[in-house]
Amino acid sequence: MTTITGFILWLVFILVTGRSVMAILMAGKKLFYTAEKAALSYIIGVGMVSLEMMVLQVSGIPFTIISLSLSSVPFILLAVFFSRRDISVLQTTDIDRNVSVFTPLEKFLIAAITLEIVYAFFRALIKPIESYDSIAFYAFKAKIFYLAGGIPKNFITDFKDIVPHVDYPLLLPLTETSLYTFIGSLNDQVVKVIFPLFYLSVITIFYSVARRMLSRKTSLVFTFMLASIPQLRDHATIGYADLPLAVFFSASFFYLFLWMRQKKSGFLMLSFLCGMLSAWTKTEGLVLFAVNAAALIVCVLLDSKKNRSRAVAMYTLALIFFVGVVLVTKRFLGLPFHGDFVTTSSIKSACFAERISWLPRIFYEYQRQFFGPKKWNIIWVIFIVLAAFNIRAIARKDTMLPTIVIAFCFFSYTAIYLITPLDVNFHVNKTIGRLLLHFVPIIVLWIALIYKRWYGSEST
Amino acid sequence: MTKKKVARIVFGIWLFLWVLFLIRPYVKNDLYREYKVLFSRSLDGKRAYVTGDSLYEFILFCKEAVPLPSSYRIIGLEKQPHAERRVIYYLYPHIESATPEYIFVYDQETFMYNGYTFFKQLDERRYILKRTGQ
Repeated sequence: MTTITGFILWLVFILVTGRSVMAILMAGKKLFYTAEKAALSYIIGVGMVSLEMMVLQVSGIPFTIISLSLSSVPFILLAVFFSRRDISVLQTTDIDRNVSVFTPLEKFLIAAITLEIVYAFFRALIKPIESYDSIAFYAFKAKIFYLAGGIPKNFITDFKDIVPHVDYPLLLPLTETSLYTFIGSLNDQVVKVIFPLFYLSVITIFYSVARRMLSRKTSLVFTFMLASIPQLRDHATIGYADLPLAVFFSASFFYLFLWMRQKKSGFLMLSFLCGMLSAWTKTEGLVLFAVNAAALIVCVLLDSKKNRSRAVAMYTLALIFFVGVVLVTKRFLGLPFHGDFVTTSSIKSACFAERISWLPRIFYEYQRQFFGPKKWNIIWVIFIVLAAFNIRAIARKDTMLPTIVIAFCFFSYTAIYLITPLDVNFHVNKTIGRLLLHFVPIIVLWIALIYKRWYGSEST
Repeated sequence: MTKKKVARIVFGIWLFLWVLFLIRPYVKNDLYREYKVLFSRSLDGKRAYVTGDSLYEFILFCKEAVPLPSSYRIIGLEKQPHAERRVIYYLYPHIESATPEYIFVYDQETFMYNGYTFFKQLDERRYILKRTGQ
């Protein structure tokens, strides 16, 4: 089988798996646009296939094209059952039904977004995997798994001196392994296609979500802004897990936000699934998943008129159950729950209090990121200015959830720096840009919502 | 100044910085030349480009020269942790070890180690030592 054929088969396999899971979750309700459905199918497909690989691993079945394909069959059969109902896609909103001709600005924005996407694919595929974290553990684990036809027995204990961070979540290495399995070789150039596909997915999902609230032109402007953030674009090409985490977490937030507005249970289930996949992508993902749940609880408590306590209780209980599963699995594997960066002693309050003196250093790095256009253009400057001049607007009902999530993200990540016993200068300097990436799509949506409120109309 | 004007100015700044940071690496880092070179190379050629031709050639040499899987240690990359990780990645299933069967010596003219003897060489500065006895 040629590499191209193998890749096409892999992509079809991922999309069919993701689409099947979505069909089960949506139970025939029309909730998504066609492109949005494809983007969600990709990210959910990637997540579910990596989980299926864990099931194969536990069952002692080696990773082959046949075993991988068969592992998706239950989802496909269930999806066929649910597909008997109406699964037609969502149509464009009534606002723009009479707008069919693109304005010159819209044509420019579509061309610019297309350029960014094509350029991301080009930059990703022109080089094989080479960046440090990718070579050191993500791609390295994928190579080990592919050559062994599965996760080697006693991987955690036997490989801990060879592979850094053996305990990291395995979504990315297993996804890379599945692609290697389909193309039949360790082609570390083709495997990078995973990342621009995530980039394309987050752009599509963002536009689709924005389009439910904003005009076509405004949605395109903010989608272009998101797509052209240099840090996001760069992470579409380097093979780190931060972009997939940003995509899962943003999707988890976006559909939670839509559920708050439209109360369609499919959105809540999708949010939960994406939150769970965040935790399966990177350790920070569990914190971000909890951030969504905590923000949801706060919003529901503040807005007591709408009775959503049952759904929120279910979301929270499901999260607690999920954390329990992670805890038990880690204990079973002999791993500390908090990973190898944080130690039990560093979580103690005395230590935490002592480290408050680190805050100026952390804030200095935040400031460096915010006012450095090389990585972020002026997205953080816009965010800070809008937040400063719209104190009332940011706490209003329609922007409350994103505001709280953003605040919790900053709080959580600052707290992580304070409890991690690493040299703060090294740690903050090396990671802050990546951590900010995790919620930058939410920042862009927040700006779009404030913009909408600020201008009061869609005419600009 | 109207809100509309402010939004247009902000978007203008965004566009200016967007174009600037798209073009900058082509001017500053000669990205066009890099892409031209990469475009003309095979997959192994691309790996050699990102790793460094000399080091990658040595990696391929070591991979072929010792039986699979062997334990090794690499000398000569102590100040380049990134390059060392690349070696570990490319040489797997050969495994890096503190008590290796082989020592891969890179870019060192004379390096001898107690209990090891000369095994094979790619050139005078790139060679392999093998453990003697147990």
